[in-house]
Amino acid sequence: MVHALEGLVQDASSLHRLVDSVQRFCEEQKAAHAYRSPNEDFLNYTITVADETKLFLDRAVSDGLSFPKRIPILRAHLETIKRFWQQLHRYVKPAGDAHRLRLPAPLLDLATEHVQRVEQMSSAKVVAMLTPYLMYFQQPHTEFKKLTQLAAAAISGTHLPEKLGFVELPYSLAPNFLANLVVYHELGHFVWEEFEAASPPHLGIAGLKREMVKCLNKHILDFPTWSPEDRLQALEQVEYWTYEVFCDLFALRLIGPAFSFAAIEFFNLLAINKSDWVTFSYSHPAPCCRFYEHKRLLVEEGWWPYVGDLKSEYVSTIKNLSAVPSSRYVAGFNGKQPKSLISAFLALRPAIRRLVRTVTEHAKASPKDFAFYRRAVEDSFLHGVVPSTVVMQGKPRTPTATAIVNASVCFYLTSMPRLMHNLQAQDAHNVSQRSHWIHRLESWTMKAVEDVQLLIRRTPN
Amino acid sequence: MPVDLQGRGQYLELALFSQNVVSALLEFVDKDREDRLESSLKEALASLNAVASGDLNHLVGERVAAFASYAQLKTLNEVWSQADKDEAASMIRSLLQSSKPVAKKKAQAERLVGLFSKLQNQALRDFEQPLNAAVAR
Repeated sequence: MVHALEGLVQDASSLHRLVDSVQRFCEEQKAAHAYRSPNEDFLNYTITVADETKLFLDRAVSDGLSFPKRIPILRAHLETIKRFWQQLHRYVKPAGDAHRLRLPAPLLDLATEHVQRVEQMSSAKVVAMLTPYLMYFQQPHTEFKKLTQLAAAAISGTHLPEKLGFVELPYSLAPNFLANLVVYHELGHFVWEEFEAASPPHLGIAGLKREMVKCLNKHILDFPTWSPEDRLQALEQVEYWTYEVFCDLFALRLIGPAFSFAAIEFFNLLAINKSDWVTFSYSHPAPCCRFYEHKRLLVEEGWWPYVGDLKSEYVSTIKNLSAVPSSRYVAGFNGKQPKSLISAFLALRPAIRRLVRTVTEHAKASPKDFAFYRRAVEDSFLHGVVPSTVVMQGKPRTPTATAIVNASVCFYLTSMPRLMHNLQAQDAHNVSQRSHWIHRLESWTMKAVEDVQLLIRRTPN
Repeated sequence: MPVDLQGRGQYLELALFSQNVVSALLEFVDKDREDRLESSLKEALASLNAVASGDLNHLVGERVAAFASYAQLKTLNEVWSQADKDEAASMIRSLLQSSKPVAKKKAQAERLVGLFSKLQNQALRDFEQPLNAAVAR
């Protein structure tokens, strides 16, 4: 039993050292950098949980001394808390790296303000993180939050702040503006998960889940005879695809077609194989299916007349992908009756569209604003001017942030050669010069968005 | 979703959930403290009832504390037989009845500690080796 106790103390000491080290890292990062408030909140949370974990470890050793026969159980408990800290460890460094100077802060602030207009999300905050992967992630924060809640119960600890989401950006693209519009999709995941975790769950999400079960029952004839695990797995599969389409439509409603173009740009960067465009994977619907939904929404909401005729390959890509009939979609995953699963999901799409429309009612971008300000904003860019204010019919006007963002993306897709033509010794076919001016366009856009948001915050209601 | 947590977090959730049930039971058995007993046991019972119903809408629509994902349900079915599930639910119901003699309640709590510890250990193993576990997405 002495050996068992010694083992328990060693386990506790080892975990104590890990926790102490993470705690010191957070304290050092906070002292060295300026953070957006959600990142600071998260670092503070970690510091507090570290203190509480240390007390938990003392209690575990004390219980081991008092009840030696419980030592194997106590060691399993320490093992579990250690695994929790491994997960927390995974979040802390990317959040610590994402200080203000490394991020497109105006875009993240704008996106957060947009999300706060979504029903039940007025106190939403988003922790930005930098990932070494060339990928955007919305950290599965429901899962992580549930872990933090369970861990809080286990160590008598603190909970994460309410409505805190986690979005991870590739470190290489972090300073960019246009590519990072993809974060709007990730914020859709955040909103979905908050709705799902609400108590009681959001009515729309609960209704959509019932609809999923109905679609599965309808499109898989022997579904009721499947084992509970298989039925649950099929439901989770359809749920993954549902998340993705929900998030795409959510992003389009909040920021408009700029999201579609940013998504195409990012897909190009990932060099997705053409044969994968029609393939449903475990986690994602086929890109053709997604862009069918993009175009459908852009047409329905009145954006398409303004962007459908842009002379850009990205517009052609959207047209081509969305035109692929659903009969050509294929399953790129193993599972029971994959074709029927896809059919069940396709039948669910009207319900997904309805839910997105409902929850974003007060957060949607306006195609009319875009149409109204677009030319003036693009003219400003053409002259290298930040379009925080534009002059229209002799009067100064402040464009909306979404109009600026969409005009900027349209300018990027169609007018970079015109901009460079106006400048001395600049060649639109010179890649490095072109990259330089794209970077400048992003800087102007970011500055304009920041200025406009400041003006809005300072304007009394 | 981050590569290293994908599909594994649910195992850790199950391990932590089991740990919280075990801790509440141990406090009762060893320290005569019942602060967390009722809430922990009610959550466990609601989760087991949802599994027993076999109704997908019940399992995923009512936010039960555990077993509402494929990974967790598979782990449960791996380590607990149907008899274990029935016995656990029955003992939890019995523990929640305050009229039972304390000695009998403690004996049942001890048996539940064994069952939930087994579940916790399996969940930890699955977390460590998701490729060998029920789901490895």
